[in-house]
Amino acid sequence: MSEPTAPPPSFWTEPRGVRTWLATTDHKRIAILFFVGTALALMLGGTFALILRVELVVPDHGIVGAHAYDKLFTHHGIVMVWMFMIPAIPGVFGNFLVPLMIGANELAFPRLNRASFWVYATGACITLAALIGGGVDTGWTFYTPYSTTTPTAVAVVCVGVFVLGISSVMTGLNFIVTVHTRRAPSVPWMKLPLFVWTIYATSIILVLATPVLGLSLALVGADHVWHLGLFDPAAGGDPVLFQHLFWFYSHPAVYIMVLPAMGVVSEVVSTFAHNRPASYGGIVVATIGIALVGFFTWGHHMFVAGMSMFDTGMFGALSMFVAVFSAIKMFAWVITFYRGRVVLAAPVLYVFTFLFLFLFGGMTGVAVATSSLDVHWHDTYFIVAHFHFIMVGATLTAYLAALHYWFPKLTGRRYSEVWARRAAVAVALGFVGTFLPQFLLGNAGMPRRYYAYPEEWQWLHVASTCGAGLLALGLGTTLVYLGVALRRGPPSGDDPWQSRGFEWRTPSPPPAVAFSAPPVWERDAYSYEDEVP
Amino acid sequence: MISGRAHALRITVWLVVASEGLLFAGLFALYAGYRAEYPRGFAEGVGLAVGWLGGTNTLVLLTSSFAMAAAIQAGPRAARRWLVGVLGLGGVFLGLKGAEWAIHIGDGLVPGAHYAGPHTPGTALFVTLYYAMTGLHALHLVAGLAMVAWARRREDPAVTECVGIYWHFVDLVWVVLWPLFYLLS
Repeated sequence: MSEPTAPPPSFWTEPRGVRTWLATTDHKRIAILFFVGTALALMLGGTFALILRVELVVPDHGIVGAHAYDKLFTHHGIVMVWMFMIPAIPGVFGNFLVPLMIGANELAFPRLNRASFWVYATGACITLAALIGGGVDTGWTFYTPYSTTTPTAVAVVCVGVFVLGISSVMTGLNFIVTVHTRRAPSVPWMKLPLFVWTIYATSIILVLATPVLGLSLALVGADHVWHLGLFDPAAGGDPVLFQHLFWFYSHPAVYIMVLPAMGVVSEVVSTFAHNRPASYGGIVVATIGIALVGFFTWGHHMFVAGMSMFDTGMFGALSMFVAVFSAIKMFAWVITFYRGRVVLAAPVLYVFTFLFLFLFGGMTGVAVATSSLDVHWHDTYFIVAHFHFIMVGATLTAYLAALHYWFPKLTGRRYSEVWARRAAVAVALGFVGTFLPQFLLGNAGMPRRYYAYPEEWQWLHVASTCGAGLLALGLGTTLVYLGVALRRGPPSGDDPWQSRGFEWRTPSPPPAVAFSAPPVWERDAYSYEDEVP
Repeated sequence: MISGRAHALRITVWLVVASEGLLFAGLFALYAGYRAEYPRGFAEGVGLAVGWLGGTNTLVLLTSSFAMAAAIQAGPRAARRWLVGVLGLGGVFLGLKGAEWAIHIGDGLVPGAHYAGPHTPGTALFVTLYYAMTGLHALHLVAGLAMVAWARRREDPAVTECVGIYWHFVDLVWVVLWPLFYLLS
């Protein structure tokens, strides 16, 4: 061990002791706790996915039975959506960076923030206990009437996810109030870093959409226990009404995942192009626009569930507005790169992957929002591949970009750039390799959530499984070199990327109290004018 | 100019109201959907309500909102007395609500497998929604009572005002529930 000098005091070591970590109200430590939680969830959900992919290498019975398969894809979805993707970027990077980016020492309600982590942990434990104790086989969407009649542990999982939802609302509320009330005088609204804008917009969705999810799951859970028949046609209920309630949350939930990812990309693009974002105002408007329009697109999940032609047309057209706002951002990022001086580093490689997945996933999104095409692709692997590209791929690559970009901020150390690039390439190729064959499978007619399939599709499934293996290898490698860097990485200095972002104007890692007085920042977070000719 | 803390509390309470509003909105949407599908079953369900209990409870809650408004207008000392009134009226509401549920359960109007009410299509759904919506409202009222007790201890005008906003919201939800379950037959 080569520890030349003791590192300066930081939030990591002050105050000392495990108990101070468990009871912490410091936003930086809560961010680290959320990182541990979401990383464990990613590993668990990823393990479920790998078992699914290995099973699908053969057209019929492989390593698990049909019923175990149903449970595995359900568990994969539940763990990945509610324990990883929803809290990942807001819980980890939002918590760590929002106060540093607005010149505050704390969120508006530090104890509420602590509670939001422990409520998350409680919800995760309840859900996992139910998954281990019996499992659920409904798919992560809990469609009725199957979900209210299956003998599996639906009610307990509903309680667990409900509790996770409470954590979401607490987090969102805290961020909104923080941005309104804790900005330093030198950070007016239109000088907020773009990442803060996306966390703000995401928080609005968290606060307004999550209660509807909570309600729908509470009703499904109660129905499962007391046989209310609320969504059961045999008792006069209407299953489609459940779908409306579920997607009223679960479509905006996609933007809960993607908006923070876009915020990360905006920051990384600007820093590594050493250039001001091509249109700060355009990106802000597009961010808020996506958050608002996102509330009125849920019907596109239900084109074939029984919907009038008028509604189908309206939901289709509204969904396409999301593509317009996304295109504004896409062009802004590309122009920023084009006019800047791009430094190739691991975070940039992840952003390139993000841009590819986002473009490809977005264009297939426009295609499936067209109801005549959706009739063909509905509930096939095409949909699976589409939402993994746009929602999972975008969120995961942005999470990894954020992790690599802000690793020196969090730890004050540098990781191995060589290994980081290798892993970034493996993740990119692995991800595309996993889901590109699934577009083809879906277009050929392979339905999602099926355990067996005709033999002529085997080569595509094998290709997809190989991709998944490469993706897992990339993620595993990342865990190793970041773990090594955490203990033995060389010091990074306060601002290793020469970024002008506000968060880099404090020591890395920051001390327990980052600002002794409200900071006075004369130049904004993207002031690279002196560098670009 | 209001202080930073009062500002934060005010934003918080409006966000909580918006969030809770959407929680109830889901149930109102279900009610609207099923009422449109089963107009006769729902009309018959409203006929089963104990009208005078619902009406009394409406009066009780509206009076409690008056007391709440008076507490916000009054000085800190008088506010404590008005808040006792709010607590008492909230308690009366919950007592009457409990009595009403007991009457219904005695009549066999229980949601789920043991439902023994009229078999007009939709009436059973109406009864389930009745328990779900008035039950959720009662839970919010209990939370409201806890907040009122807290505001009474704190004696802070900003806290009293914010708790008042929440209390009026809970009251407002009841003002919508009342016609849906007692009047529109």
